[in-house]
Amino acid sequence: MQITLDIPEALLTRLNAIDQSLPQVLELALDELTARPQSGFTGFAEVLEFLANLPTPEEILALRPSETLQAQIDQLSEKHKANALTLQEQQLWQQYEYLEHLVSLAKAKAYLKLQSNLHE
Amino acid sequence: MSKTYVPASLRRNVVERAGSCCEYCLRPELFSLSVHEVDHVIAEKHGGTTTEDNLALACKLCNTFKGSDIASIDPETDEITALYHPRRDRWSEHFQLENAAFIPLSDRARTTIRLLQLNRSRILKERSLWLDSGLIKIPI
Ligand SMILES: [Zn+2]
Repeated sequence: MQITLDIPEALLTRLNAIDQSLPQVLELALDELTARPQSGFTGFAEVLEFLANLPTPEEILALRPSETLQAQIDQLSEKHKANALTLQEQQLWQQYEYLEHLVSLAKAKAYLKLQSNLHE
Repeated sequence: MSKTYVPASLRRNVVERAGSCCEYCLRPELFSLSVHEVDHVIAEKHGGTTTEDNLALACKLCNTFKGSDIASIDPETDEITALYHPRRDRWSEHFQLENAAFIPLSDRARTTIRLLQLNRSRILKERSLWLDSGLIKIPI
C-alpha cells in the first residue's frame, strides 16, 4: 500500500536517513503509542497531587495507592517476578521503587514528628 | 507469588506474628506506600503450602525481588544456596544489625541480602529512621 503525507522539511531530512526501514519505524512507534495507556505509571502524579493539599502527618501515614495505581504496581510486580519486564516497564518499576523510597521516608519522618509532639 | 487465597484470619495471624514488619527487610507496614503481602516462603510451585509454617509477611519490594525463588547464588562462594527461611531459621543466627546495615553471619544470609537487595543505599537511609521509630521488630 502507498500513502502520501505532508511533512515538515526537518522531518524529511531525518526520514531520508532511515529510508528503507520506515515501515519498521512506523510499527515501533505505533507499538509505543498503544502500549502506553495500560503500562503507564501514575504514581508520581498521584503522590504530588496528594502533597499539594499539604497533608498532616496523620494523613501522610494513612497514604495508600489508589486502586488504579495499585493495579499498575501489581502488574509490574508480577512481570518482575516472571522476569518478563520490557525495557520500558523496567524503567516504570524503577520509578515505583524510587516513589516507595520517598514515601517511606516521608512516613517515617511524619511518625517521628508526631512522637516528638507528644513528648513536648 | 500468592496463587491460593489466604483467608483473612490467617493473614491476621501472619501480620500479628511479624509485628506488622516485613520479615526480610524489617520495614514496618506503617511506613510503606503499598501494603505488606503474605509471602509463601516456599512458593506453591515448589510444593509450599498455605499454612502458618510456610507463610511470612513481606513488603511489596522484598516479595517482588524474591518472586518464587527458594535459592540463589552466594556472591562469595558462587554456590547455589537456599534463601533465609523466616520460619525455620533463627534470624539472630543469620543476621546482625550494624547501624542500619545487615551483617550476614551465614551463606544463606549473604545470598538473601544480595537477592532482596537488603543493604541497598536507599533502604539503609530508611532503616535508620525505622529504628528511631521503635516500631521495628527485630526477630530473635
Ligand atoms: Zn521488605
